[in-house]
Amino acid sequence: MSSTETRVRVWDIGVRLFHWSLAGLILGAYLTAEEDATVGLHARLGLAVLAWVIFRVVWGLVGPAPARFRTFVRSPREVLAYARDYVRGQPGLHLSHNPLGGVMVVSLLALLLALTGSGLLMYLGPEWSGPLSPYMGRSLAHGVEELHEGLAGALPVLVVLHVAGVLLSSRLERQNLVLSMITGRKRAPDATPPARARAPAVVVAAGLGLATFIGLGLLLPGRADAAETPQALLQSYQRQAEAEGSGFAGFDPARGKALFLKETSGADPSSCAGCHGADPTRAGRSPAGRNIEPLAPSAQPERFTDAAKADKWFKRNCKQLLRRDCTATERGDVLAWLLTL
Amino acid sequence: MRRKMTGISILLITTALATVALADHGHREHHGHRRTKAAPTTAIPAEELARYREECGSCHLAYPPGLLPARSWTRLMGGLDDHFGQNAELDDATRLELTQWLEARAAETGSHPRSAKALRSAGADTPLRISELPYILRKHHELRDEVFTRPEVLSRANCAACHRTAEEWVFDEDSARIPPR
Ligand code: HEC
Ligand code: HEC
Ligand code: HEC
Repeated sequence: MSSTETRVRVWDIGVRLFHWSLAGLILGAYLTAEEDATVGLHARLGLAVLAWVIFRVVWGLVGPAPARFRTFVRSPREVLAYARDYVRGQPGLHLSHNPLGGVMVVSLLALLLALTGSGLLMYLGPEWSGPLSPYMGRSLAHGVEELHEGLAGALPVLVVLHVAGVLLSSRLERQNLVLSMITGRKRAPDATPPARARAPAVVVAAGLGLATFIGLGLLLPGRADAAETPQALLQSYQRQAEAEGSGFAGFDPARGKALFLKETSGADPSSCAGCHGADPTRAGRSPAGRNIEPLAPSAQPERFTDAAKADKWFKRNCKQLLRRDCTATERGDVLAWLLTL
Repeated sequence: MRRKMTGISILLITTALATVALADHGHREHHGHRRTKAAPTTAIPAEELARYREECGSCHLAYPPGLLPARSWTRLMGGLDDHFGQNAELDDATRLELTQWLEARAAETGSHPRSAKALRSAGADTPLRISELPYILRKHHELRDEVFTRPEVLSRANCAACHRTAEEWVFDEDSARIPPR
């Protein structure tokens, strides 16, 4: 590499921070994806990736010239021509990404957008008991999950190609492109006016601030911590009871206990206690002989931490004994009683 | 020097990424086939098994799908609101999904080492009970009816009361134990 050649600043601080943060965040997201203990962190890392990708897209529209899509997204013909030169080992110099690199950047951004977008949907959907749960059926939720996993499998392939391309180009162009992404400087093609590529500091700061803010999950606290509690479920029964109307005047543990112990003639077992036992702090037994964990949250902390499960069983068991579903008031009464035990 | 270092660290990151991704992939691919010989349950992906147990394993053993023909599962899943006298209804989406899941692992597919015998035993019928398949009844010929009514057992359907490995869908003489009167 001759020392007389011109080196110009190409990558502004925004692009460089974007690049290395993204690499780190993606690595982190892969390492935390599998274990239950770390999926909360995984989700937040994924959100940070999404924030950075959005930042990069905006930057590609309004950022300094070398960072703009307009600069490095080329027509298919140009890409092909460049690829031919590349194979011959004589690619021309490009100040911004070369045409093949441009294809890679766009592919990576699109893949990451879909990957983190599907992850976000999972985060907001039934998987995490998020706000979109009521609107997402099981099959849709399942489809989103499959998509997310498929894309997650494809990303490493692109990353490997990307790195291979960078290393090969570094050789062919006789300059260290990895280092360029750190220092921001690249060899200029002959007769390039040294482009000023300084980013307006305010915009960069704003972009970074936003990215970190969203990413580190200040907006979205980890769902795992915010798991449902019996108390929250009781409140939701209260809202439903109020909506059911006709003078709801609070839950009554005594009424709940009475319902639980009430005998229904002709039914077998003839009461809730017939399966759960008269003392819900102890285990019960199903008619088929299987042990049933205690219903009282004081004895089995996992009870009533899953609204869908509680609703499913209330519905079944009430229909079994009362020949109808229980009202929200009745559910609340029983839960209120169980919470006193 | 610095260049080499960056180059190397990038290589490392890439390798790490690729390894994680590939290892993860391999993990998923092979998960189901690792120890098929051991217990039939190991041939089922853990998440699917957990889900089946969640929906069908609260009242009794989550029975092996491979011990009833597909038509039996279809009929059984069509009548969950009156399931042996119990209301075991599910929302439609879950019910359809589970029905397909069971059908895809029914006796016809040989998913259980005893599938072939169970299937022959069912003949042209559509049995709803594994416990009353002639094959299973025959295997218990030597046990008096009384043992099935003992307090710990309650029913012929309560395989797990005697077969300590029932949860893994392994039923053999060695692991069977009759609870006291
Ligand atoms: C035929 C036996 C049977 C009867 C009768 C019965 N239950 Fe249950 N119930 C069960 C089983 C089995 C479960 C599932 C337990 C598990 O998942 O560990 C259950 C679960 C529940 C749950 C879900 C708890 C949770 O973890 O969210 C509630 C609530 C409940 N029953 C309430 C009732 C009420 C109220 C009655 C009376 C109207 C009743 N049950 C009668 C067998 C019965
Ligand atoms: C609410 C409790 C409950 C739930 C939930 C439930 N079952 Fe059952 N099931 C029973 C009872 C009770 C019997 C009869 C047991 C007996 O005869 O001792 C039974 C019997 C069976 C039998 C016949 C067992 C035999 O060989 O005699 C099969 C098969 C079966 N259930 C499958 C299922 C499947 C599949 C699901 C999930 C969709 C399911 N059950 C969910 C209560 C339940
Ligand atoms: C009362 C206890 C009891 C119950 C309940 C029970 N079994 Fe068994 N089972 C036994 C015993 C004991 C043997 C061994 C019998 C012998 O060797 O004569 C056995 C044998 C078997 C065998 C043959 C094992 C072999 O090595 O050939 C099968 C298969 C089997 N049981 C399946 C089931 C299934 C499926 C269920 C539930 C639907 C069930 N059993 C319920 C006690 C029980």
